[in-house]
Amino acid sequence: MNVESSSKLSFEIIYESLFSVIYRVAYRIVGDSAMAEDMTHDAFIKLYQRNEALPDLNQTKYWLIRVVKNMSFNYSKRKQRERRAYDKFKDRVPVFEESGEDVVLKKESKNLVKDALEQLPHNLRVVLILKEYAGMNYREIGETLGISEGNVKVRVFRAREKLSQIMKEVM
Amino acid sequence: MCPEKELLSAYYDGELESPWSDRIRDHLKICEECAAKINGFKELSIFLKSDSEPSVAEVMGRVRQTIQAPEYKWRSHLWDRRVSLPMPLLAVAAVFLIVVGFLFAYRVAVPVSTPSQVIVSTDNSGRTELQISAPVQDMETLIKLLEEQGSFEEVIFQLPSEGEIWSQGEPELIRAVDFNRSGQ
Repeated sequence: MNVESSSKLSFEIIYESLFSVIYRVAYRIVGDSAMAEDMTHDAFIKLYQRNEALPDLNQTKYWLIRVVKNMSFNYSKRKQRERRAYDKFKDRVPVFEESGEDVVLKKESKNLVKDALEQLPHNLRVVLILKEYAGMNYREIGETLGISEGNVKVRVFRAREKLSQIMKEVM
Repeated sequence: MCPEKELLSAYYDGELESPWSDRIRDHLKICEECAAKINGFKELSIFLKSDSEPSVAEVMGRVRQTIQAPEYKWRSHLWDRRVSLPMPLLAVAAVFLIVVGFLFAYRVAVPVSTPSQVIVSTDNSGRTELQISAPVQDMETLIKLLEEQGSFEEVIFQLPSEGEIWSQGEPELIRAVDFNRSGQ
């Protein structure tokens, strides 16, 4: 990626270069394409309205990833709270037994990758997403999250270990 | 001796530099256990990329249109700007505002009377005329001023031309200048 001051970079260049990675990070955190679109949109709006220019395209990328990651995790947390509240409510009302066909359909539509990622703690999930989907190296991940490269190495490894366990349980 | 699992993970990510990466590469040729671990990492990567992602090109076009909408172009940045202040400074500012607020409220609730004014003039016949302006709320001061001036031939009270005046009880001024009822 070219290192060029973002004041010289047009919004269009930033948008063209970074949209895909920002959207992918948002999608892998929220697990929903429409919500990921909203998160990416809001992140670029924040960049658009930012008064100070970022030093270069890389810093702009790290900044955008931080913004979209925070917004996406906040959304996920809210969603989880709503789900818990719904589950509590569901326990109080009679539930009709699902037919065999319904159960099969639900299993088929179940997204294994999304479910597995959702079971990872946030700090492990984010490093794995940045490694596997954003194609970032340990230094870049560390710079984005404000942690050391050594810490990134440990987190990536732990995320893999945990994910292996989850997959053994699910499959 | 097998390398630590964390090192294997870093090797798989291409994060190890020359002497270490060479040693691990050689080790993997003779150690099935470590090779299996590397394979496990590969399988995880394949699993994570196994589901299809939504088409980015379509989303990109939609989002671009909303970002380039006029309301975003002309939106004021000032209102969106955030300012961070140290907590002690914020506390001092809050206390200051509360004190100023109370003082202001007190001044509004209890109107401050304008000070009394005395204008001295002499007419053609040589008589001295005193014009005393005093607020209605502050009769005490008016009485005191009158007492200080000594005796008068004539006293004229002119009430404010604006505003409503209610008669309530016995006016303090009349009580003050009236004869002593108890002595009657």
